[in-house]
Amino acid sequence: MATVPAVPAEDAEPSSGGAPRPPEWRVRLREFLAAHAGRPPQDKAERLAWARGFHADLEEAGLAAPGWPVEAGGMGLELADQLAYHQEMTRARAPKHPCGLSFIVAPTLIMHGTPEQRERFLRPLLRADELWCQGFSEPGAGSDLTALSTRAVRVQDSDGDHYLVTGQKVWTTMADQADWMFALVRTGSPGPGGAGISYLLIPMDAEGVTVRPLRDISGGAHFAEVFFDGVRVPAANLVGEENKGWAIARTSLGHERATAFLSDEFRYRRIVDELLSLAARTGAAADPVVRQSLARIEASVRVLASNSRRALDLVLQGSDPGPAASVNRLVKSEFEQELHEVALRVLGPDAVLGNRERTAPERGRWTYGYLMSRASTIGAGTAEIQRNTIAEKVLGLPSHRGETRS
Amino acid sequence: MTTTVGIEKDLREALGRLLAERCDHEHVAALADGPQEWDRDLWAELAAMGLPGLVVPPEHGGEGMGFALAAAAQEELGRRLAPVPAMSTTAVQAALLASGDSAEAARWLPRLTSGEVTAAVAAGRTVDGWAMADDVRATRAPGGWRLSGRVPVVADAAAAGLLLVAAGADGDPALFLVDATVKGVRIDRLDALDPTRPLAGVRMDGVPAGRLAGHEEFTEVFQAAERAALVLLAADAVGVAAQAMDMAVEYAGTRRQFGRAIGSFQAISHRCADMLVAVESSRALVAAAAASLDDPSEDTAVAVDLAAAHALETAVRVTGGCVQVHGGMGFTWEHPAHRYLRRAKAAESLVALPDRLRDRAAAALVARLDHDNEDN
Ligand SMILES: Cc1cc2nc3c(=O)[nH]c(=O)nc-3n(C[C@H](O)[C@H](O)[C@H](O)COP(=O)(O)OP(=O)(O)OC[C@H]3O[C@@H](n4cnc5c(N)ncnc54)[C@H](O)[C@@H]3O)c2cc1C
Repeated sequence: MATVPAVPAEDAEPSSGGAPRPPEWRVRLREFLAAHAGRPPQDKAERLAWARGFHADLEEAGLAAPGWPVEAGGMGLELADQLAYHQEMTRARAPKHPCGLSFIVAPTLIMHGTPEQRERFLRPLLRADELWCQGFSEPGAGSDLTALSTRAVRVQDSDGDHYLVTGQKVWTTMADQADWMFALVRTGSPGPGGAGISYLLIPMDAEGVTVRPLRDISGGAHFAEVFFDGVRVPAANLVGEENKGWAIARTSLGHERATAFLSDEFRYRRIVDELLSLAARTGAAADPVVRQSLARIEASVRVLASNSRRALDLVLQGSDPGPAASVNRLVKSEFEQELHEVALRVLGPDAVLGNRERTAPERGRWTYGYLMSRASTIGAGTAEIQRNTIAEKVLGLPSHRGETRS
Repeated sequence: MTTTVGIEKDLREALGRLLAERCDHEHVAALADGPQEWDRDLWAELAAMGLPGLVVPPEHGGEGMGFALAAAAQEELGRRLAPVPAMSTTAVQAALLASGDSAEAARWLPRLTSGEVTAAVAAGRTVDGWAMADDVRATRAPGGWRLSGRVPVVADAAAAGLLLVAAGADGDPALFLVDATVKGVRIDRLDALDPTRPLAGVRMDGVPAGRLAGHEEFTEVFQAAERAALVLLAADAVGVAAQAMDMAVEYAGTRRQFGRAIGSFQAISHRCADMLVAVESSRALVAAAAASLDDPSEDTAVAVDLAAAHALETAVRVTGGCVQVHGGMGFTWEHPAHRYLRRAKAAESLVALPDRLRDRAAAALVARLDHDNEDN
């Protein structure tokens, strides 16, 4: 396996002489970030507008999507450069793209979309002019997604070729803000390997779409139920072949997850550093039990960093990300929870305060994170399902469900 | 023995019935998310059953049933997330009883026992347990003491008519009783991780105070309060965990994925089995610790600390597991799972942290060993 430098060469302080000149893109990115420096607005709506503006400008400057091919509107950077890119962004505390889910649908479109779909969707997606939500889960189909029952029936009439969609999605993150949903719908009979499922792009403003926000553990409404009542969706919004959507959803999810770690890595590094400072400041770091926990958290963040590079390296060589990606997914899920468990231990007596309490340390962020991190072992595939995947797909153990592997 | 067992069974059943009716999930959710801090009416009904007087001897108007029964009752309250200040009130009763101050006892115990007044402990809070409130000053005044200063976080303060304040007096630690309804006491509500156990900041501005314990009795009296609080908090945690386990098991048996009940997957069934082992172990330790408070020995402190550490940690693990077993449903505001997690997690750092309690227990065990060796 080729090794990837942990830090791009020009980051290491030169002992003497001039540092090698950074590549052109990096100079421009630094200039861009310097020009766009600023504090995020307090107000939620203003903050969203601010992040959208940032990403529109970024796209305008040709500095969005470091890993995407140039034809798709990306920068086509090499792995080491992608790492450097994310490092620059994290260091500058650049606002995150307001819609992380966009980067699950985008690779799918790049790989499986029609030229028209790529032309239509990718640019507004990068610019955050259009936000996306993911319509996979249903009340009866969570871990077992292939059991989904939202139906799409193809009709051709005077209005043209389209699908009529009827059914319900649930736990749909950002559904109330999204312009589009990438959805898995049933177009054929259920069968092994996710048969009869299609991948469809549904406009959220279409007639017959009802969004009902759901409050989550923190009291905020971050996800929603979405109801479809005979919603007309143009057949041109089908991605890939009809009834072949399951395989499309799976392959793109796998590859996307591998690259998603890139940007997470530096963010996690920063949060762990903030936790370490908190422990030092409160004096909790003097406690041997706390030190054990801190060291374990530090080990996890290093596992994540090192593994994601290994996985990416393989992806870039055109092979499967291999076990490292599956391992990282699970480590990451549990890491987010453990991190906040340790943070509340560090807070000690102050951990009783709520996340809305003004006088709480760091304005309650750790308590908020503690509650929200409950989702990290549920949302993106539960920890149990991830273990099944490791056991069955990586280790080759027989499936207890008697399922044929897909 | 049979009578105690019978009494406990009757008490649990009566409480269970009352709480099922008066303290269901919708009720708790409405209270916790609303402006009201605690359930006054429920407290009155519990008082009618004699609950606030369980550990108080009959000469002070109580039932004299001891901590064994109080812990059983608290477990039932925990099961339903009852927003009542039983733990704090009992802790202050324990201090009053331990102090041997008959005047103060005569003044407060009957009102605490009848449910007319509830109490809260205003102390400094550390990872190792209650301490003196740093920012409170006690000064002598004609006819008694006056307290000034603030205690940043006090559980159940908003409900309290009586405050037990740990503060320095002439450079020595002391415990004071403050009538929380007098002028000069200000109580400011705080946002709490667990709204079923409301928190507030307490400010006192030259308020009259009665000294319950001077520096000679301070440790013993304060310890009595802390041990009572730990045992009841642990008993509460057993109830919280037991109910969360029941919810998880119920869901595991009914929710279907992949054509079968999720409880048939061993990742889920083993998790549930581990919950039961942890809950039953906690219950056993808490019962022993409560019995040890009723019949103190040199082992009491260790019994209390071990029980509290185990039960508090178990509740966090089980309530977290309950969320996990419910998948997306467990992450919603509507589902009660998060309220159980909140109560469990907040309890863990309310009095003393589990790992510190274990540390203290281990230190005591080893010290005892050294002591025994010296004796031989
Ligand atoms: C914050 C959040 C955001 C989300 N956002 C989205 C979104 O934007 N779009 C979307 O489509 N979905 C979203 N989801 C849904 C998420 O994908 C599902 O919650 C998840 O797949 C689990 O499904 P479920 O909730 O139905 O739980 P279930 O599948 O019913 O699982 C319940 C429990 O059973 C366990 N279990 C199930 N099957 C097995 C098995 N075979 N072996 C062992 N254990 C098993 C699970 O691990 C879990 O503990 C979100 C969820 C959360 C919490």
